Amino acid sequence: MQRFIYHVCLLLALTLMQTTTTRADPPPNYPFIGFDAGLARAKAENKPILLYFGRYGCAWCDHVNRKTFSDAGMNQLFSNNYVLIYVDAEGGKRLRMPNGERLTEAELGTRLGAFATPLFVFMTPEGKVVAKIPGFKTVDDFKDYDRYVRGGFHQKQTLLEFLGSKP
Amino acid sequence: MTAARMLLACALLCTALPARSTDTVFQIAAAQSGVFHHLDASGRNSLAVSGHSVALAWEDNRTGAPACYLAVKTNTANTFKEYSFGHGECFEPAIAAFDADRFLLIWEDAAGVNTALADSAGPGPASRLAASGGQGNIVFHPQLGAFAAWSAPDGRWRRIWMSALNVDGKELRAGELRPADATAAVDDQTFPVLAASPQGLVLVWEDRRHGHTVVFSSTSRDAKTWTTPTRTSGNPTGKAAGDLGRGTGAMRPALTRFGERMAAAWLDKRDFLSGYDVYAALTGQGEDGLRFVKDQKAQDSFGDAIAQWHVAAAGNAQGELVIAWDDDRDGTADIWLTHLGAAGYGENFTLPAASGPGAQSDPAIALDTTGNLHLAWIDRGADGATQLRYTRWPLPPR
Repeated sequence: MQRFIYHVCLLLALTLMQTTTTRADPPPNYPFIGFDAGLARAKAENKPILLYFGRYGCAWCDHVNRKTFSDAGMNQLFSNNYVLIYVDAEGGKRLRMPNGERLTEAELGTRLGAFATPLFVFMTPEGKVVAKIPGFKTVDDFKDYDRYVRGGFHQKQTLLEFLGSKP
Repeated sequence: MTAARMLLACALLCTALPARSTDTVFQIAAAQSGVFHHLDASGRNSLAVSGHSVALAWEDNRTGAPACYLAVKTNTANTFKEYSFGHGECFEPAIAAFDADRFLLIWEDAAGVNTALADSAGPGPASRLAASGGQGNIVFHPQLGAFAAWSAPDGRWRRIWMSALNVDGKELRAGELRPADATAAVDDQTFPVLAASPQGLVLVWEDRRHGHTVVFSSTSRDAKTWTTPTRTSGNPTGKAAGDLGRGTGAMRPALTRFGERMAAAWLDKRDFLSGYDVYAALTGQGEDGLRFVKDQKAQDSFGDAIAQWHVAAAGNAQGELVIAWDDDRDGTADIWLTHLGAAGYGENFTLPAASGPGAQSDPAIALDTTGNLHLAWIDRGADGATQLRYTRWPLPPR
């Protein structure tokens, strides 16, 4: 009987987890984590950060998730080389900024000047913002951003200058 | 004068109102490097006027950790007196007027959700409302009494809870807890705000039951029976072309009474390409004083192409209504306001003290019975250091 109850509980838990995955807005099958944990991991692993600033129910987030984040190569590239952080643009959860300030997720949007979602923010392992990119982007766009960030071009060029130079 | 010059003169007159005998600008909680001040009460109720006193509640980290503070002064005093309150890390304190020169406080700290009475001698003893939760808001109705609302986890979701508060000497005691919605939550309910008018009580909050964030409300004439929650914001629910998303967002509602009516204002993303806009819904006249009618944009068109943040609302018994927010339409963040008149929301304007170089943001407002607008905000310098400021300004006739 105990075994049966255990299996029922396990099934319920798995169903709940599945439901959570369905309703949550980060793209599925990516190792997105929270802001504070992400900053700490990026520093510890010396990896750049891709912060996905998405809104609950956002159509363009849904679009970029289906069209771009569904790409297997994109998944491998960003899962392996970046710390992936997801922030809910209207969330009330508190974050700790690199300077120690405590802010809610929504307030981070104010500081980032987030006028639309999704907003993709690339950051150094220390949490310094190097590029902010709003709206739908393709896999090729993200490959360009990766070269800009991991190639170190952000140290001497803006993203627009980098993209304009067609490297 | 050419038409263009006339237009320019009109625009200048409309947006940069002169300092109509503006009171002194008070600096509260001195700026220090590495100290961050936050005016982030649910409903932006960080400022209140009671009798001849004004009080501001905020959080800052001057001690190395977030803590809550209260500043109180009488209308004629030259300085605010500051007090700290809360146990351990303290967040999102909210304040409301109580009886003459006294205030109600609610906040989140290491002990949970707490409330207290406060006066010119500072906050009284704290009473715990809940062991966990936050985003508290509080209100006093002269006939129905004091009430608190907050958001707290209830299983998988956050849910809005309410309680009547009984005054016991210098302490507040919580009455029976009740959820804002008797039906079990199916998604998060957050950021509640309460307001009281002669018609009764209104509670609004953010609600995600439709798969995106919308504003809900519930009302009561007697504080015993509350209406079934209904949707107040008109931001559309449903998938966009291509079977995408679930709807646009409406967040951080503010709520106030004006005369016998109520006004709810919030940040609304139905125009999703240019950030949030300020939308508001008003209740009807007479018997409909607790029933919201269709919402509408409250900002003017000059703010349409940019994002608005931190919407606050204040009204008074005489029927004046002011809505405030910050946006950077003039290059840097300024406090912008609109005053409801007979023809609707007036053109947006700033006050000299809360606009211009630097960033002025996060308004908290209150209107007194003589028509003075009380405004507190955060001034952020180029180095990121913050300073709380307060001023009082007589509203021009409508």
